[in-house]
Amino acid sequence: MYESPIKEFFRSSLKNFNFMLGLIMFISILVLAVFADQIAPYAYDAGNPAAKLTEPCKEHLFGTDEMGRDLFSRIVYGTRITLKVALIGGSIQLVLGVVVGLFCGYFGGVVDKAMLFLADLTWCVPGMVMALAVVTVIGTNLTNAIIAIALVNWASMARTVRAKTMSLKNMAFIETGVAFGESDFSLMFRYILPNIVPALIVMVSMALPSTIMSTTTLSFLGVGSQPPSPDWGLMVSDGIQYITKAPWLAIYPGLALVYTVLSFTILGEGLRDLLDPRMKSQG
Amino acid sequence: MQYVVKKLLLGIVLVICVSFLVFSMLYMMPGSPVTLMAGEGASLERLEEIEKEYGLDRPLLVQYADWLYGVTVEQDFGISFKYRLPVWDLVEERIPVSLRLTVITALIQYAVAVPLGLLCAYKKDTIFDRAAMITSMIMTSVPSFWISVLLMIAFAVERQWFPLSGFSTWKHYVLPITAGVLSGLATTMRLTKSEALDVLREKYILTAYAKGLRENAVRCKHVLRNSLIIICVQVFQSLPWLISGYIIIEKIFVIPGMGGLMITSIINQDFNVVQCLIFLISIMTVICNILADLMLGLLDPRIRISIGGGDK
Repeated sequence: MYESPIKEFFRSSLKNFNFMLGLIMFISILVLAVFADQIAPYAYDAGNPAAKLTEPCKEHLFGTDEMGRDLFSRIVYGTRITLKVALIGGSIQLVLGVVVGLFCGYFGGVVDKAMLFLADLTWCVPGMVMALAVVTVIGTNLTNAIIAIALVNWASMARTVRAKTMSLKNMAFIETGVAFGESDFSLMFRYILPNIVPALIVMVSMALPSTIMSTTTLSFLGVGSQPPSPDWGLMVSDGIQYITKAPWLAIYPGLALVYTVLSFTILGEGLRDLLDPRMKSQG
Repeated sequence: MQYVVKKLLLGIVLVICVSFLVFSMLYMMPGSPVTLMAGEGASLERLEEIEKEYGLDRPLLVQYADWLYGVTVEQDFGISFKYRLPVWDLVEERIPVSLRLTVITALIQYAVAVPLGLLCAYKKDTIFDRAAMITSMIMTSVPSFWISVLLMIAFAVERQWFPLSGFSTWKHYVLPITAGVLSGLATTMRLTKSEALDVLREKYILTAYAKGLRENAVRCKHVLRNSLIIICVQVFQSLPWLISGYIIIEKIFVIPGMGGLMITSIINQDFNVVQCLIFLISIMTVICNILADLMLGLLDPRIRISIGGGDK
């Protein structure tokens, strides 16, 4: 019996533990980000000189920092930054990866060789080092940190897209398209691209955890978000200065970060099980 | 031999390209180091004077050629704008510190992760395997800077077993190395597991069982030896990545290594130091990758034949 692929997807997704768990975790983060104004009891930059470095208590669930700012509120607002990182960083990698990968896989030749060489170049220096260098040049703020990480990470996505394109290029339906007189552009984006969409979704969701972690690390090192931004990396690095007096300052933001990264990892694994046909046939 | 030479040449080309890329990136950078040296509010003439003195007014290619010549022929990496010292003097004493940490970390990490990974492969789908896999998934979601912070809180603040920062006695090594080991452990373990599972599916394992070898003999002689091939290669390939991982750990524990220097230089916009460090790290990456390739050939005769056969 015929069942629409979307319906089938929803049915099997209900049975996939990883996917559901990841989705629930992700939705909880999304809710925090959207309703931050309602959920957070204080503003993220509202200092209270009377309550500096308060231990976690009833009024301040996670305590306060050196300026008397409520840590819980700051963490809640921090979800917005992290989701922004995931959204922008993921999109840049996706667009670059898809366009470059499609062009290289479809046309081959000199463009392809040049791209492989470029990929070799980025692989020659560890990503963190390269990202640090890029951020130095384009300036230290959150958007630039996101761009730097994306510039370092896109190559692996392009490689996968390239490989998939090359294997699809010789299939019969492409020849049919050629016979219909379709242009190269149309063949690439209307014939090949839809066929790699499931793989793309999986790739992006697998790339997000490391994107978030690397960008937060840049903020931690002081070359990403700048104070008073409630970026979790920045908060942990501020917390280190007060590590003996107020360890909670460094603990809670990190915990929030791990929760977020974990939610994307689990969601990614679930999506892979659901969408990767190779895995599906095995299971 | 021909293969090695070819790889070396390609490596040299790669290193030169990377260094040129970084050089031109830093050249285009808006905040000029000249202002840093002259200090705030220096006159325009003074700025131009400094620019001339350090040859910063010349075109990009000339500057790069000059730099490359200095590096390769005279081992002269230029002068640090911040410290007013030759860059090499700054870097020289920091290399061994970082290398020592990295090598110790790599050794411990593989000594722990490989047996665990093998065990997971042998006991696939048991509770032990599931628990190990879930733990490793959680561990890959923890950034190394937070691991370091947690270790500090647990073992330097709550219980003062180890010092918080600095680098003199053996006690100073414990926390940074633990952080380094923990941050890479999960990945290595997963790699070992999947590698061992691949080997277990091979036909020669079936043959080994069929000829009546004991379980342990098969595991040690066949599975372990064959999965070690990829793992040995991985050790070499991961060294540069460990060094870059130590950038973060060195900063947290205030260790006088290459990573700490790199961060401060980047924040201070100290061109030459950054350039020199990236150059060194890319050379190390290339060397490690060539070593990994050679190792692979040495350990796996099948690959050696296909390489030695060359172009057929």
